[in-house]
Amino acid sequence: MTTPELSVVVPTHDVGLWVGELLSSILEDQSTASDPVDLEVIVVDDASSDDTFEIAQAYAARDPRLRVVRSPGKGGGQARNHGVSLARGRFLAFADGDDLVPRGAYATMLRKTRETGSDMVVGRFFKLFSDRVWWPVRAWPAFDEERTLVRLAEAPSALRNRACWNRIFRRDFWDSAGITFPDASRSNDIEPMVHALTTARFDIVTETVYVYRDRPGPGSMTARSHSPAGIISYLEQELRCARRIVALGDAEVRAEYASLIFDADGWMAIVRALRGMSVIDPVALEPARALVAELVALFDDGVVDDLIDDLERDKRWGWRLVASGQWATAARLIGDGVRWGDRTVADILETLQLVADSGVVPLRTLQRPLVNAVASVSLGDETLVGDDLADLVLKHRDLFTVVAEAVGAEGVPAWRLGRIMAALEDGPELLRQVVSGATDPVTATSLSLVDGRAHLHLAHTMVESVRLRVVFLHDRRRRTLDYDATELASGSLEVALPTAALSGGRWRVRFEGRDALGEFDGPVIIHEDVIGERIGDRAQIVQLAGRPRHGIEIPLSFGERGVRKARRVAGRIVRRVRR
Amino acid sequence: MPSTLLSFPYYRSNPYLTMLTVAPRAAGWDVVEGVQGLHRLEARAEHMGRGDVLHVHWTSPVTAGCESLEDAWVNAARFEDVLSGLRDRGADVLWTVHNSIAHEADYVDVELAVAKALASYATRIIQLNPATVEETAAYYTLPPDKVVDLPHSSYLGVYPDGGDDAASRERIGVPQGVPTVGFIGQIRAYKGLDVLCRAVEIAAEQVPDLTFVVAGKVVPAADVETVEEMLSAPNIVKRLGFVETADFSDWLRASDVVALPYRRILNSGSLLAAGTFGRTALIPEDTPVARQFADQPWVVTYAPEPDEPVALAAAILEALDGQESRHRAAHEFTRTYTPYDMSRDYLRLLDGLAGDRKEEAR
Repeated sequence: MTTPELSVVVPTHDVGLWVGELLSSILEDQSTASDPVDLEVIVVDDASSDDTFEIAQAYAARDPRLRVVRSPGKGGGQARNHGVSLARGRFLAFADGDDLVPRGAYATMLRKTRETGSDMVVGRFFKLFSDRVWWPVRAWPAFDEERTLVRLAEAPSALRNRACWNRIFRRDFWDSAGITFPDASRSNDIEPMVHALTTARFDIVTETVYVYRDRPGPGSMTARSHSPAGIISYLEQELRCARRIVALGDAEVRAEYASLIFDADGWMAIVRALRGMSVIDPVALEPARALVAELVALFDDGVVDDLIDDLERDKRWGWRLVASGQWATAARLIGDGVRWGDRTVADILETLQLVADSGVVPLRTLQRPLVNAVASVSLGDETLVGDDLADLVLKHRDLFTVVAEAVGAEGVPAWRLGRIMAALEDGPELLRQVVSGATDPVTATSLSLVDGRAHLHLAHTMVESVRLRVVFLHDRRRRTLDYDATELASGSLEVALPTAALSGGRWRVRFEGRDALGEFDGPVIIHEDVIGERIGDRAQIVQLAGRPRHGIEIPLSFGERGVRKARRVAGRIVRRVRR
Repeated sequence: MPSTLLSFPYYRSNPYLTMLTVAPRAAGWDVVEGVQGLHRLEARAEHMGRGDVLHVHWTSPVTAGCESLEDAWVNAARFEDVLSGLRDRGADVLWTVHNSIAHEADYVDVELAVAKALASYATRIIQLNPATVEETAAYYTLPPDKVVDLPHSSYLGVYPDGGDDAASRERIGVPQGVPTVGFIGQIRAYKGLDVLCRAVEIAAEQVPDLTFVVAGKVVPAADVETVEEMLSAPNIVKRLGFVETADFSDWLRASDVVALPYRRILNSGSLLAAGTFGRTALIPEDTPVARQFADQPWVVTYAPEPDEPVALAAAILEALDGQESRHRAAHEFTRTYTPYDMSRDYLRLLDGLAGDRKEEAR
């Protein structure tokens, strides 16, 4: 029996629908007359209950390069290790039974390592979903160009890719490094691949060498079938990876890894686990907490602290909650995939209350989401009727108070929070008045374009009004209209501005004012249902991107267009000259 | 620089286009996504030249949104300019003939002119149905030397699927154990839902617990009320809206038999989807699709004349019997030509275009 150049180990478990395509892609698409690949394929079946084994066997009966065995152990890791023990090739590759190996992939990688003598060659891959593809490698600079005989420190982002299937290994490297797959239920390739990446001199080719099939379960509603064992298994593997990275002692690799875990893969693993569990059991999750705490401690030299502080809010709070074992609060924070802005105010305030009670999140950081819930999210919350919003604020009075105090200890609270606090101190009646405008003292009740004018009706909930300025804004241009206490006495006012007074462009409307509760300023929220005539002589009302807010658009006149174009051209020339 | 492969129109969330382009993407083709309208096609095609390929799948976007016949002719001329410009710059044009003529075409003459332009400018014309040349002959002529076969594969392993009929029924609310007939996919006038409703009524006289399972977006949306009214009987489980890819297998698995009473089609992805999940498919006889698939044991045909609802009702009753053997036959058929088989054939076809250019250069 001659020795093949490459052995491809294929662990399988219930992949009857796909294994035929995978085997065909390896056995029929890799060799060409000009670039022959001498390979063997070893299918190691891990207790399939479908027709996977029979399909593979039928294939093997037609092609002697394929060997099909049953795994003596349990799980993908043991199946891969068994496959390696049977492999005879000078090079080693792995492929999962439900994926695809593109034409010529192995030939490309073998050619590269024959030239360079590298320990490992890695190539690009994409993920195949039912109705789209996704190229994670495009975000990783290591894969931008072909690389030869690099160490991980020279291409740290190669660490982002810790799968075993888009690469080949020199067999003597694999054995001398002592790489094996752990007996883990989840993520059993991340540690051996970190092992390989931190040990090998490797090449990167820019060809696509693997297609990974992403197979979510059926049904658009997520099945809550996750158990704590899954996330614990993942974190155990992650901790082993982390130790290898720390031992490597390279600052850049360490930073790349920390970002990978705390900002990307690690966080997503926690999100998926918490969303997938029907019950959050902190006792069962205690080993996971201990692992997270250990993971954080490994990097607790100022690097991770900064990193976590720089993360976006949910991750920043989430890691602190998880590390302190407050899984239910973390799950509440993460939610079911509903955007923060699409949740109800009641849900947000309850969640923020839990976060505040956790004792691990700086209270001052709750100001922004708290004010945002009352001033912005409330506008789209259809569950709120009448004084519900004021009642919710009253219910969470303590939350508002502790947050305002925490902010006050370091500076001045935002004016919206200041108004709420002033009203809370005064009593429910004033609070209702303040909150009735969703804490915005000025709101639009109608907007129409009629007779060459923008007619904007405003209502206000100012308390003992002092003054109000309505500002039309476009770039740095402002058109302002001032109103004094007398004009504001009725609680409403009408602004009629000739559109001829506005030059071409998109104009937003803001308010600036002062009343007994202090100074304030903000955008005038113009809801869809208050808009009347949208098209005027030379203007139209348009929605401003992504907000329940509208503006007035004046088309550019010919003259203005010319000026703008001239400015753009001049800008280009200046840039060119500077280069 | 990788060569550009621009599929037109490229609908996101389209499993067929996704599975077709897997092998070309892996081989290094830059597959342009998201071009759906004529304007963006013009803008993108301008940058395409030798080695690049425009692959036209459906022609309806050419005249979409036109408010007059005049506008439609203007757009057809613009489309023809795109084709001629591409060929002048050395790019190739592929055309897959999915239908003889776009369904519900508003401007039939214009549609025919667009098809003729494609027949003239295309480097290769792909037929999904082996009888495409004959079936389209009444409308336009396809030069036989340009026509190549690239059949529609099964959807084996493409859709998320739990492989459990009972669980699928539970998820979408179809009672366990009741016989079901399904209609899954976009609901359009040409698809014969009215005929099927009547047929279900007739069949239900003999099978009282027969349940009608309907899921799909109503196009145009203005027809929703009419469709709602049509589907107001108590034995119907319906979702009149886009069927999420993740839910697609549930709707098919909840249907014992799938009815496809369409007439004017050359190809049916829905038929192959039904077969992929082992469902029996009902189609009218004497159509191009029937001629292609009638010998498949999992396909049951019926005579639409003289009384289509009665014939379809009889076919439903026939199909509800002996599902087990049809189920097996469908599964076997599904493996004979898989999505990746199709994708690799497609890549070979694209390779062939490059080969032809080398020949020409000699």
